[in-house]
Amino acid sequence: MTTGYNLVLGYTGLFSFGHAGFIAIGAYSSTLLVMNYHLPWPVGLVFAGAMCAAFALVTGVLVLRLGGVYFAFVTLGFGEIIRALILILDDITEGHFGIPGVPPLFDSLTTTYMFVFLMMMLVFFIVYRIVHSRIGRALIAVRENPAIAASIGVNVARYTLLAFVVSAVICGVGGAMLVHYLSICYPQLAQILTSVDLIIFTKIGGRGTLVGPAIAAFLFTFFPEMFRFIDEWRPLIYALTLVVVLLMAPMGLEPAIRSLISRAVTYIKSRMFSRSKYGITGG
Amino acid sequence: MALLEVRGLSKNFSGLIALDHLDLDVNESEILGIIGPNGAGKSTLFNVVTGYLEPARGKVSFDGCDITRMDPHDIAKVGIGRTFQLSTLFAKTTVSDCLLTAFHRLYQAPWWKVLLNTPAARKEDKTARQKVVEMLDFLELTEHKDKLAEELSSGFKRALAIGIALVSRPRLLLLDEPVTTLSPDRVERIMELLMKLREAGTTIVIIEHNMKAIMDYCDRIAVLAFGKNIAEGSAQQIRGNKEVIEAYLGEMD
Repeated sequence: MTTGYNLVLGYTGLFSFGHAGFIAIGAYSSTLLVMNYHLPWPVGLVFAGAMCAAFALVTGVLVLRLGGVYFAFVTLGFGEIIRALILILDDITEGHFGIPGVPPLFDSLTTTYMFVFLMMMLVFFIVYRIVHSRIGRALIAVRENPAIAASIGVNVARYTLLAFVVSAVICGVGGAMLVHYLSICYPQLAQILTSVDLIIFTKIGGRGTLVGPAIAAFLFTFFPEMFRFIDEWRPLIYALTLVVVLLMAPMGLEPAIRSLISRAVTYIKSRMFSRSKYGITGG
Repeated sequence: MALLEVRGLSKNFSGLIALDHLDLDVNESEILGIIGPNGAGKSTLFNVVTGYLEPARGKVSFDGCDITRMDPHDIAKVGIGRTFQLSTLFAKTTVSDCLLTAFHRLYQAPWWKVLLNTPAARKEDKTARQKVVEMLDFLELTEHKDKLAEELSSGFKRALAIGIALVSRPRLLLLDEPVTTLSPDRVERIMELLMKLREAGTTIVIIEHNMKAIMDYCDRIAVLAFGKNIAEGSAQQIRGNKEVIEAYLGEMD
């Protein structure tokens, strides 16, 4: 999901607070379809993606003409509207209580993890192909300088919309997988904090990098979990990790890890070189 | 028929008249210089022609086709390239990636072929990279190709800005102050570059305050004042024009 979000923030530079809304749309679409019509869950995932694409297309056309802060505010509203709708339509969505008993993806947990991993690889592949092609270059051009992007023939509105829709679909399918895994579908999925988490993960991982956001999401989900035994302290540990990572890697995790690796490589190379020199003088 | 025809073009910004029934022709394969005092409407003219601003009245046609009120990216696609004043660039992108991005309008392969990286898409990518190498060489930017655009000196930034407009081979190139504030030897280098381009068939329009560059290199000069085209002709004719001298009040050397 974070990788998908990165496509909007990292590659077009737009802050969307509404992506939690897409996670919730995906989650509820799949849940309701699968449970009410007793369909297999793959149909649910596809439906979740399609619903998100439709929603993103309509909202995108309306809000993407707004720049910067206005875009952030409107998408913030969008996420809240989705949450409110889920609560209002409680005869379908069960409102605050959420929908329990969502069918699991697979009976065995191992198979589920394998499947989630495969899906993640698929998302990585798609985003990698987008980013390392003319489409990604056009998206970066739009982020860096929309005026020049247009002067070289990039349809700025269309490319921004494309990034918005693709990221919404990824978030939606991700949301659907999440509720099948948790076996409960609940309205808090659409809350602002989920969007804020996405922004933090993207920022921490390195805006406009590929693997970084995923590493950040992993770190910030599992690291606080390890401290489950001191439950009330977990938010503090989350915040501390955030501060430490921001101080140590202000440009984001992926660039930091890259420079660490390249430094390690030069270090090892220099060690090897000096050893061979000793060997020569010794002989 | 002229390559670019501007007829009766008007534009105002909440009462301030920027363009006032302006007429202008740009002929195929010429370098046309546009000069005029500050606020004469020169940059506004470029912005209206390339679709960034909507005119109040008037018509712009390119190669016989009406391009008035078309979107900027569509105007780029018919073959008009442009640069911007102060040459802002894709700051955090490397020089060669800037040029590769600027190749955009010539890509043919549909998006799904690009995502699947089919042979057609790969071939296209390879051709684009080849063209970028040639352009780097032409602009003498090869040794800087891996630098970020923002790290270049101002002379190379101007060259790169021209390169971005040029790499997809537009028929008409509109340059907004390509040599202003550059040192004389840099000015000469960029103007020589433009001469080579014109010989290869590109039509060029330059807005410039550097009178020496305009007088020495332009085939024809148009003078704008208060949104009107007050004089047109060769460097000789413009130098002797009384109205022009009045408009500038001794700014000319």
